[in-house]
Amino acid sequence: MIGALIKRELRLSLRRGSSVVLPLTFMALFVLLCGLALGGSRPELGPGLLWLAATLSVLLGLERLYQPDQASGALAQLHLAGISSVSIAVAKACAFAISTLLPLLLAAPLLALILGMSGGQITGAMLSLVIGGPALIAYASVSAALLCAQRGSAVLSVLLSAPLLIPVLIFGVEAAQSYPTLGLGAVQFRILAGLSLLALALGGPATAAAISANRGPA
Amino acid sequence: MADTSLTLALLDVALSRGGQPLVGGLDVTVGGGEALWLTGANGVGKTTLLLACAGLITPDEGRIEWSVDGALRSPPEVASYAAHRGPERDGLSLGEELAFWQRVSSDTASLGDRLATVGLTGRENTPVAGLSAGQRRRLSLARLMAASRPAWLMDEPLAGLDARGRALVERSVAEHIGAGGLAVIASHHPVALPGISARRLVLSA
Repeated sequence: MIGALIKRELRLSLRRGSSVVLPLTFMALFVLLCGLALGGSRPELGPGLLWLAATLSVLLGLERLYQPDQASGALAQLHLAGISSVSIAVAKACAFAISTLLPLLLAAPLLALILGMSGGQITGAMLSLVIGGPALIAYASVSAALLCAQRGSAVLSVLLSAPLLIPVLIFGVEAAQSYPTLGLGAVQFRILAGLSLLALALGGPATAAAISANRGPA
Repeated sequence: MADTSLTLALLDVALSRGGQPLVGGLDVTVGGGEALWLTGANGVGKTTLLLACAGLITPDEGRIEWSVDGALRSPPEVASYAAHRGPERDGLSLGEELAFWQRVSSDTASLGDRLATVGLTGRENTPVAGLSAGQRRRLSLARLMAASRPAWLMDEPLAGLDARGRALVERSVAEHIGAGGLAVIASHHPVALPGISARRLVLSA
């Protein structure tokens, strides 16, 4: 069932015109512009830029995560079909991760090339994104689900999730920077993993509860 | 599929929408094998009543109870709801949309059969955004059939349909009721169910 939901989400995000190509292009352009603005080869900025791009693309996708299905009544129909809010939350989060974070990971080697990052640096940055990504997605899910029934709440949901995303951003960048010297055992990676687990534990039930509260007509 | 012992009971129900009080003091019981036709002026609360029956909003006063053999059931166990609009999403094709809801409802019929039943054969690849109002009604009917719940809650099922489409909906509802099902239909058009006389409930503020 969750598989069918994920497939539908991915189809919808592909058809929106923002296929895999668009986030990839966005990412490449973002990196290129940053490279130009910051003046060439600055490998130490790599992890920060990658995390910035990840946070931005998550925030940009917030509005289309739950709002369209709430407005069309699909959330209500899923409930009537006996699909639990938890299944919806899990499926939406998985699809959201695939459509926002996966393109970033694919574009990361390009970032390394432009900024002149070493193998260790780019590996660290990608690993930190893989480990910290669940936290980004979980917090984004909560605020998107909480506000999906409010019209024009895009800015509000960004404001709501930003404070939750800041610790993840801080430790994500620190973990990536510590990887070349300390590897995966660095304390920053453990904190990042802890943040992700905490976000999943809090975000899963909170998102499900928000879906249940908001699935009816606005 | 359907159970003649199915009962929908509205017990002294009062409804409001967006802070605006609508109908009140509704006391109605509908059983399996019966159809209830809701009419009334625009904005009197027909859709709100259907939403309340589907458990998607809570009545201000009173209770709405679904039961089978005297045992209370939750709305998702017995009812499916065909809203006036949605839940189809632009961006999917008709086939993808219906196949998704069939999958969600664990429907045993094939996509082709469902499309044929509602007269949409060969339209699998039509984008949902390009469907006419009548085609959306037909899709909605196919979704109701796929959900195979004993109670059908239908909001304006005849709107936008041509004569053959109206006959299709009326025949399908009659067959559903003939098999022991229950239907609550909000409609401005008279619903002529072949062989069945629908009870008419005129809502007024």
